[in-house]
Amino acid sequence: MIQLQHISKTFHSGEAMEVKAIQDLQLQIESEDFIVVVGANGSGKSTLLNLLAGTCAPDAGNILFDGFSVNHLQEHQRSKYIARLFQNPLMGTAPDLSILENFRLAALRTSSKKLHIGINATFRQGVAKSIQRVGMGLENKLDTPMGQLSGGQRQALTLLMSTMDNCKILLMDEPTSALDPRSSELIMNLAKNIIQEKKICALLVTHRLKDCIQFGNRILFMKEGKVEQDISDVSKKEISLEKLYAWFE
Amino acid sequence: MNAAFLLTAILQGLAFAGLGYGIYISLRIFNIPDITTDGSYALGGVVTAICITSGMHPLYAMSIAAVAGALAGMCSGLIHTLLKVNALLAGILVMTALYSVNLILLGRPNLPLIDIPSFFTLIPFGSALSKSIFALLAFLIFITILLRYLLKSDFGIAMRATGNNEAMVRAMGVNVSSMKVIGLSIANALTALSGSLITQYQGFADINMGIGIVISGLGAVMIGEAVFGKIIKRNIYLHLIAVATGCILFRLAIAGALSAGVDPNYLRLITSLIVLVIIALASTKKKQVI
Repeated sequence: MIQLQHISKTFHSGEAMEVKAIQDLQLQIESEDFIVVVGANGSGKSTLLNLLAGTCAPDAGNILFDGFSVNHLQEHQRSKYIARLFQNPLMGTAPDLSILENFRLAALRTSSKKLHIGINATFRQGVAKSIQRVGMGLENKLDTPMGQLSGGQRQALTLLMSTMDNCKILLMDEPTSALDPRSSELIMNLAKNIIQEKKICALLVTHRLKDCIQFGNRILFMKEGKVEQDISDVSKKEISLEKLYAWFE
Repeated sequence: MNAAFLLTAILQGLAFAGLGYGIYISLRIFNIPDITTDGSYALGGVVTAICITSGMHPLYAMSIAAVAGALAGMCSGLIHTLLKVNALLAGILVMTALYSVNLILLGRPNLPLIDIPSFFTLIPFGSALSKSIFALLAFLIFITILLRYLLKSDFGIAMRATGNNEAMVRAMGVNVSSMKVIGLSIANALTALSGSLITQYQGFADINMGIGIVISGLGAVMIGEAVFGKIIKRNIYLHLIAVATGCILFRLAIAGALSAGVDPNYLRLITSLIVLVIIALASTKKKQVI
């Protein structure tokens, strides 16, 4: 369970460019919530994800994971709990490293990177098996540098990599906006399956209103740094595209 | 170019492999053109000269030289990461400071090492030449295997990914700042080892020996990569061998220029021109070189 208590975040404070990205936000996220976050540009969606990941620190308020304050933890320290998928499919992988080496790094996300060679036959087999499920034939190209793959392939592998060990939270910031429709669908279904299998909580920031209907058990509509609408379960099933669209008025 | 001249160039090239590896780490892995190199190279030579003239075993002297180089790299790394100073500027600051440090350590501008046991006299058999060849090859093989192991290890993967995609590596739980500090330390330790070997090979340490050496290193790395081409991308051994070969080719190019009758005063001008030509050739193939 994640709790955000009275969170505020202002960028360029005191300057002409001042942006109040998040204002006194109160939110409780259950451990198996799949939340779709929508809102106009600048409504604070991405800042919310960045605050959770530790990319930026709140000006005021507390963030608790399972009751423990994580305010003092930096991004790389929180990575133990958090997996992230970015809008840019190139952001989640190292292009000059092979597929296998990228997965090795991901496998070590929560542990120390020691001076021993961790890529062995068992590890190779495990990665091949895991990659098979995306059905792109990449399991035979484990030594190929990541940079030679397409955006969709890299995003799919990023998703597998970021969730391969015991993360608790998956943060997705418009993960499919740079992809073609087929790749988008593949990524979203893969994400959905992984979230269900691993029983983790997930936040998906998106501009595709169809995603709100199709995915998740809860919708957050953000406006000017606050949660304007918070709809879950039964009420979410009754939501329609028209109704969602009307929120943006 | 006669055979002895050629051989000297090759041996120097082997001794410069440490420098090449250092530049490979700072430039290719971390994308940092690390100017600290000039200072840490001389530091390696100076420290070695002081240690072996005071009767220390050459291998201990070389270890201390490597540690000194690592400390220099650490300083640049810390200035860059903690104070958020541009990496190039951090390197220039440390390099400049090291000039004084070297002068204070050495106590004078030049220290000859005549008839003193060195790394090249450790082998009890053979002629002076075969001792040098054997010692340098043994050294090269040792650091190549060591470095390849390091880069293939879990730590090495994290290190290589750091220069490749910092945001991703941070999300993978790697402390990017300390990784850069460690990387620059390793790079400058290797560079200092080259300074140490060259000092023992030429028989003196000189306060000015490091000036412009970073350009030699850059040139060597680029020549090696240009000669070996794309295949190095998939294999770290090949990349390291390419860099070592580049070091030898670079020395040969300079020896060639000298034996063609070029005035030694023009040496650094020629070095810069050679590197410029390589960069220009490489940039016609792809957009970005450094």
